[in-house]
Amino acid sequence: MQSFRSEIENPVVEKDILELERKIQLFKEGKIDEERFRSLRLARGVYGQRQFGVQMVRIKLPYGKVTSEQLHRIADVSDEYSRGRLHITTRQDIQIHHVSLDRTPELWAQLEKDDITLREACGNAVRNITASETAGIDINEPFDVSPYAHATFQFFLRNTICQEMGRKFKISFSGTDEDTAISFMHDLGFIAKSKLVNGQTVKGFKVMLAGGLGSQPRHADVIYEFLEEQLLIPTIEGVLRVFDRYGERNKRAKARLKFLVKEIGVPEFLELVAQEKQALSYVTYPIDTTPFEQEITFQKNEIPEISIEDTKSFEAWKNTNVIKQKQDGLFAIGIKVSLGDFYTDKARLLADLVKRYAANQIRLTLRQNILIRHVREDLLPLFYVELSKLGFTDLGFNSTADITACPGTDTCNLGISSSTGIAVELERILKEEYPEYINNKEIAIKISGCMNACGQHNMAHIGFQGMSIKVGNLQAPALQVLIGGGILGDGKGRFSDKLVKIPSRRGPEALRVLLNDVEENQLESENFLGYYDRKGKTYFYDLLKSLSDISNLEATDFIDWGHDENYVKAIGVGECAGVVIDLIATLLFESEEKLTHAKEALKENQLSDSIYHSYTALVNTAKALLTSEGIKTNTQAGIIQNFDAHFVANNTIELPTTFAELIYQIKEEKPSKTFAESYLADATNFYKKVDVFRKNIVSHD
Amino acid sequence: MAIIITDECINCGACEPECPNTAIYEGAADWKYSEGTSLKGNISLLNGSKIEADKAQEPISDEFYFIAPDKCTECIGFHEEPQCAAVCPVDCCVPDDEYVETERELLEKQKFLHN
Repeated sequence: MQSFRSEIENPVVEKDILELERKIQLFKEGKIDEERFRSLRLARGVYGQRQFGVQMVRIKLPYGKVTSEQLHRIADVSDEYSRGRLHITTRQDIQIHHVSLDRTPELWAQLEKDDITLREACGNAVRNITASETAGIDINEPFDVSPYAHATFQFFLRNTICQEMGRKFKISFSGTDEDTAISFMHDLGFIAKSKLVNGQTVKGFKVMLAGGLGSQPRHADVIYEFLEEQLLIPTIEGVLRVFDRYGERNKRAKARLKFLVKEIGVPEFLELVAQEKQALSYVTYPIDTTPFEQEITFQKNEIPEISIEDTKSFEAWKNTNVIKQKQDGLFAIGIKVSLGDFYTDKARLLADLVKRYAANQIRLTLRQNILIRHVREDLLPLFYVELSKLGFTDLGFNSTADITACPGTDTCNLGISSSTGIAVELERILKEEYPEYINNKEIAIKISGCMNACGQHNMAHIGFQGMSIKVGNLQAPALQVLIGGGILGDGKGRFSDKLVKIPSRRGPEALRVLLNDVEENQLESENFLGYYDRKGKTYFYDLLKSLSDISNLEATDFIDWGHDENYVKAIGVGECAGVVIDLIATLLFESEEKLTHAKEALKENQLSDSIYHSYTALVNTAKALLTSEGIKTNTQAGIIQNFDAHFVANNTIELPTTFAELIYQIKEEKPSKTFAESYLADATNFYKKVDVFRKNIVSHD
Repeated sequence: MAIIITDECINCGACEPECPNTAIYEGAADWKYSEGTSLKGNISLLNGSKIEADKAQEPISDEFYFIAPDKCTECIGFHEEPQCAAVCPVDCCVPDDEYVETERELLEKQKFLHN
């Protein structure tokens, strides 16, 4: 594994990769705790999978932007370390599977050669920043959100304040009021807006807070109708600081931001954010958009003569898969990628095509597709012919027939029943029996293998969720049918109603019953959701109810889609959040580490970072003592309060002030060098006091 | 009968928001008679025992979501079928043999909880 060491140019990245390698070694030797190791590897994009002994690796691709060179690199890595399949996720990442843990550092180093990271792709971190795939080319957008998504990615990657949050954090950017990045279901969702101020056009965002899907979906709240662009980063920083301090840490199912905001209320949450103002690393943070405003350039290549024989098919393709850009004479081409899966041989040919004849860039989309941007009108025939050779001209990009599905039981530990198997079957039925839906961009069908909703099934017009049904001593694969979700635009959205649970084998029939009913009864003046609302939930429940009868199951009903053998329920535990380890010694050891980090950061003059390290050292040290007494430590704020109540008020630990006053200096003081130094000294003294106290107790035990 | 959550529970939490009586709690969570009902102050339960509605009760399970049987009406008075069972992805919300009640008793319980 020596090979990659000398090749990485960026010392920060090099340190990261070497650390991963070292920790893998320590883990193998049994020298570090399994849970600790897991949370480290997750924050480096290395995830478990259903198959024992191999890993899924999530490649973080901010707003799905990929150059030709990067696509080649990812293809090479997949061939070398995985199995040649590239899976596009609903958050614009690429996942590869069946990777050996030992080889992940080497794999990462390979990717970094083309500036691709794994860092914070999984785990309790700021996850991939998503954005509308048409950002920068959309006729309706007030401005390109890509530079803002990019700046957000850069600013929070490896940022001290969001390395050990209670749970993951998702951010999205929508280019227009159509809200294609689905802001209402993100922890923070931004929609581009512009406004005239004193005759000047000012750029900004509508800001949505604390949305989410999962088994308990929550619609985000609008916290700003218009937030000026230079306040974007400081606002996110404030929210993350509050989430870190007040977010639940012990009860994993209640740890997302949506639960905190639901519990304390939006105004109270914003008040806490306001209190962080002094501590922010920047009061305003202007974002340089010029790198994204360069002239679009093309390679000078000879254009081959193309004659299209089947003009009807070509026109149909242009109609459903080609989008006119805001740049005159340029078009974007959508590739419908079934289930988000494509393979390295074709990925390479696509990369070459895009480099030779377009502007060397694709975007992966939120519906697991590919969008090629900047194609000249006269080159559309060439692209049609070349993409056809790759099987990349299936009609119906972003249509009803373009079904979204998570990997489900194929590779995911959490899957309950097959999502991809039923998706393939439903796409086939739409193509053969309901071809008119290939042109329908209104209704979306989405499928998840479990309630965690990675396939976004509970915000789609028609959704299916994997389940299981008990039939005597047997288990049959099942689907919950949901209807009535969708994006309404400008930050508004709907979650779907859970209608009925049916055996998976009847999924196609459920779709037929539903579509036939719509065709028969929907009024011309109504859209799908309008029709659903007029008839109401009970009508559709009654319509589908007979499919839920399990008294008449046949042998085939026990075999899931895409399988040959009887269904076996096998559900593992999620990895998203490493379980918190509360060994007192470990906690104190970590406090020492955090103090070291604070010292190092201070030496580098990274003042905010140093202060935050001192802060987490203080919290961690207090947590160690509370844990030794069996006192609850669910949130950082709770730890601070409980420490005063149990150790300071009764003078068990003597401090010059309360612990709260000591630690909350972070809210009162600007990140100056003087403060960073004194705060570090406070944290060090506190640690020493607690350490002595603890040693006394242990020696008396 | 009240519904019980078996140890096949995968702790997904899908059932919790569906319960019309707020009878479902996450494992290890304290629960109260007053939450999601109109009960307050000192109350006598239908079996005669006296209790403080606002007092935190011990969790019934530390590992899985659980249903407080005294607050479960099997959705009688609200829905056609128990909603927790309808949305449970692994079919682990099942009738509890230890709390067998008639429909009339359940309806009475429903009225008691929401008078």
